[in-house]
Amino acid sequence: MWSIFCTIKRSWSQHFVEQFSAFIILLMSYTALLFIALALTNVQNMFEMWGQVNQVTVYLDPAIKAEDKNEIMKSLDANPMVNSFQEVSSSESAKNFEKRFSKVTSQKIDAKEVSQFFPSYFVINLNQAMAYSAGGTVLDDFAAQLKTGFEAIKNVSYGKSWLRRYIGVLSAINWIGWFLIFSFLIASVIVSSSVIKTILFSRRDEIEILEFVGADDSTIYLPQILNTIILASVAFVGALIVNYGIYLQFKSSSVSMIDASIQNQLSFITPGTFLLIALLAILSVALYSVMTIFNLLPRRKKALLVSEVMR
Amino acid sequence: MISLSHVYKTFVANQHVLQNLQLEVQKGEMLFLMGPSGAGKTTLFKIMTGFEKVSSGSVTINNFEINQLSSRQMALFRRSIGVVFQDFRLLNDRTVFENVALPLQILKLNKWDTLEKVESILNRVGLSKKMSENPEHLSGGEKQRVAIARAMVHSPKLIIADEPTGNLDWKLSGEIMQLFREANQNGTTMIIATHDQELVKNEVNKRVVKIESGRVYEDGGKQPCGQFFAPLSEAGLSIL
Repeated sequence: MWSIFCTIKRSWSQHFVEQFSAFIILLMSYTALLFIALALTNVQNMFEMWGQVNQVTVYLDPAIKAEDKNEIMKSLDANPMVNSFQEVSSSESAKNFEKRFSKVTSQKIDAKEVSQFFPSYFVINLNQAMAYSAGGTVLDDFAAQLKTGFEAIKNVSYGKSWLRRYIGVLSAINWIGWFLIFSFLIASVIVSSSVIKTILFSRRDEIEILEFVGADDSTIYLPQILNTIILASVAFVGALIVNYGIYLQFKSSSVSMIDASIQNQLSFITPGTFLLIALLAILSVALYSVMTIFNLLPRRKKALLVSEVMR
Repeated sequence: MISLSHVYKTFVANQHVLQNLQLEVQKGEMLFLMGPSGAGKTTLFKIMTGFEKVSSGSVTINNFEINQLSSRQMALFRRSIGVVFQDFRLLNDRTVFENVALPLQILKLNKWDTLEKVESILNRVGLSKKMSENPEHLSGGEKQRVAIARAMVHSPKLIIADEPTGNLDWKLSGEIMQLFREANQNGTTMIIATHDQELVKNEVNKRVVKIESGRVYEDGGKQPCGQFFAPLSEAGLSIL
């Protein structure tokens, strides 16, 4: 262990500039990568909030009978998803329209005259706001259940079309975000591989001497792999701190800028996402380090190692 | 101790660097491997240290069948031998002490044993006062003595040296040979590749093996050198 530490220390003293540059590039890559993850998390939160549905409108047949209406009301009363509901008659519906119409034009309409064109409906307040993703299918099922259960129900509306659009946009954002995260991961492994190549190239005489005195591959190459893993880990922790700083700064400075409800939705990267990215970042760097070292080995040694692994 | 049997080495098709090379070296022998440049000495040196594989034939050293070794076994084999190079191969970013201690570190010897052994060997090669110096600040002879100390510090049964005096003047060469002689008297088998006939001339109890065009041209056995060089020179001339 001590000799590994000494080798890493020597490597840093001999190749400080290369290693420090690699550290900065890794730090920048990981910062960008975590920032994308942070942005992705919060965009997702925003969309979840905007995409929440807590009201469903059930449009009734104009010729609905009183007993059918009672049946529907009983059914809604018994439904665990329904918190409360209220009936809006066709005349009330027409009045509501009249009010809205008066805001956009000076022309007047008589609600009584047009009420025949407006169906009566129920406004249902749901127990729990349904988000766009998992809630989408629940709402679909709820609507289908009502429509098939009662002939007098003509339509059930809960903003289905814009909900679908949101899902499309969010999934595109997710794809772009993960694509960028993987691009930065690839950039980081290429950087670490270049540093390993540079260091091993400058150490080639030392490596040959170590081989001559009987050092095995782990003694020679393990410090280099460990050094790269440590470098990547420290850069990752640094990137995490930078991103947490950005998050705190944004959260505290955004009070006046954005709505409080939106501010409450802001959150840092979830531990699951963070662990996934950390594992991907550090494992990819470690794996690529091993591959880089393997590719740099002389052909006879490569063949020997391959045959040993195959055995 | 060392057995090379029907050894062939080819880098380019049909051009043998070593061909049907046969050699047996007994424990405690001091063998000079001689021959002009391009004769195959360095290739043989690399084969004996496991840095090249033979194209065919077998090489057994210290009971290790070199061609059959895994990379881990190869490392273990190399720990049982000492190697000296013409260009010293010292690590210039480490002190003389650290350079000499390298094989002991690989053998994972504790700090105190390492200190004792390195001090002892540096005393033997006359460099005890320079153990904290950087090899860059040493003369050629001193560098080679550090390299020899590194090759001998773990008391290997076999030392293989490739042109160990190639970069040194005759006086320093004499000093280096004296160190080899002492190691040999302590029971270490020595194989020294050289093309310097003067170096071999004054050695007693030596065995000189002449290689030409990748074959053992002449195996002198243990005999004084004067009898050995005359036929070699004639052979060389006839080839030319």
